[in-house]
Amino acid sequence: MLEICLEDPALVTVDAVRAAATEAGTEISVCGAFGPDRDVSHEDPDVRRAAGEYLRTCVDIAAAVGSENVSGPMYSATGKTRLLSDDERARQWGWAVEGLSAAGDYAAERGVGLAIEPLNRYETDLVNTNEQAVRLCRDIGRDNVGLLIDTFHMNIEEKDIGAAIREAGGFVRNLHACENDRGTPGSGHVEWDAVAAALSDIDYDGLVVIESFTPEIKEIARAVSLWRPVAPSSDALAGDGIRFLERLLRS
Amino acid sequence: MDRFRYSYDALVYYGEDISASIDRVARLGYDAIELVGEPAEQDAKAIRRQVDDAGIAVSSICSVYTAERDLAHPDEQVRRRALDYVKAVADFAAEVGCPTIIAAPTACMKLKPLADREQERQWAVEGLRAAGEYAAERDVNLTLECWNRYETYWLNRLDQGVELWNEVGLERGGVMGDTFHMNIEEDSIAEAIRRTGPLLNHVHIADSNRAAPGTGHTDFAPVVQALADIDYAGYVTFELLPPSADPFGVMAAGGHEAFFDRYTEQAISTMRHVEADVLGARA
Repeated sequence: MLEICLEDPALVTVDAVRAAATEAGTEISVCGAFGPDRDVSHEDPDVRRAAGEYLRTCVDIAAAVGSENVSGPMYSATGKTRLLSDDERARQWGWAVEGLSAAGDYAAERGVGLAIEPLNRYETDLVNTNEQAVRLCRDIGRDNVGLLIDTFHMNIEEKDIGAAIREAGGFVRNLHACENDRGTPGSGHVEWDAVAAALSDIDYDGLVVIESFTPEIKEIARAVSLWRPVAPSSDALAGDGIRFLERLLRS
Repeated sequence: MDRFRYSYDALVYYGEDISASIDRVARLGYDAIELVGEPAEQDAKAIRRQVDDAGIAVSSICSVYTAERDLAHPDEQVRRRALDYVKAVADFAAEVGCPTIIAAPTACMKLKPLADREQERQWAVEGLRAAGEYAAERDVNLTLECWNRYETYWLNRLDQGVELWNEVGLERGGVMGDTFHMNIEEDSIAEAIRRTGPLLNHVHIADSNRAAPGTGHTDFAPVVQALADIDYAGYVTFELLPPSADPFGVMAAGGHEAFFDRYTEQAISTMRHVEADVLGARA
């Protein structure tokens, strides 16, 4: 399976993606990129509307390429880290619930789910932990809206990664399996045995996606603050990573 | 007796009168306090008297490298201001009897170079060398700090710190690690400490979530073992901060109550237990 990021949906030709995936014998999963102009919890209703439109486009593409979910930190603009009063925060939360409820309904009609991703403190101020994300899902209250959990972010924010995965439980729809430095899974200090045990406890049977980045693609490298190569090459990271994860999760 | 000497960084006591901070740290059993480096606003003589009276030392100075204090800035004025700042911190350290000041080649939260990388490196090396020589004359050492990827594009790992430090080529001083940053950047915190070896002259301890040890998932036993293995003789200093991209904003709004008595107490008691477990009780 290949996860593709819909940074600019206009560049994605659904038929070409589907044909290439069929030829390669792989499936496709899609995730969104949520910049400042696609912010579902923004004060400005026009920005919220643009976020809703973008989410519907992502859902359409997901349905067309057979992706089970649209994944990503869709509750806010990535990189938005502000200090808010409780009232302001509650209002932002309300907009997120409202926008993602509507997107969830649109997705449900097309047989697609939403997988909401908590990010660490440096990338968002709204949803940093699985507990917060579960609360968001409960407020949204749609069966097809759940979580994407990412071990890189959990390593920074969660007290206990295994417990956090169990807490997310049946809400988990997608998993990013990343090393603590976003290098090859297995090369750092994430406690993978605890991750595997927790996934087994919650009977997780969804995707396991390796997400990393390369400093060679400047725009994304800046957004995720990746300044040095964390693996010899993207191929090495993908190859060594899947060998490690298969051993871990199939044993 | 403890194997290590313990210190707590007053950075998170933001907004508090320094004498109250000194009293708290002494009362909770610390050997020393780490002070924030804002020498223009600090009364060194009074602080010296207060730490002496409290029976503790000043372990280190936590310098504050803002965009205006950037040793690698293309503007020569900014570079000079940065150097003047490090010198003022060194003077302040000498006055309060503190052996170590934290140094960085560039500003914290600067996420892209403003000039050619090689040129920035040269400026930083020159600035750090001049600052280090000035500090050495006052019996004060620099320690070069590495921060995680969200706080700098430059020194993220201890190996990178060691490489830059060797280029600076000072006779005294070294490199420091912070376990919060290392949890994000290093393959193994303990191995990074061992590789740095005798060049490690300061350390910041915080759990994976930057709160007191015991509140996150970092396993401190291998960290303590690694420090013992390299015969680490510096202070074990806790630098704890609230969970935000802007911890200072959180503190200004008063959202850091737990970091006063509660985490100050929890940090040292947790690490003393780890120390006793790993290294055994010492007479």
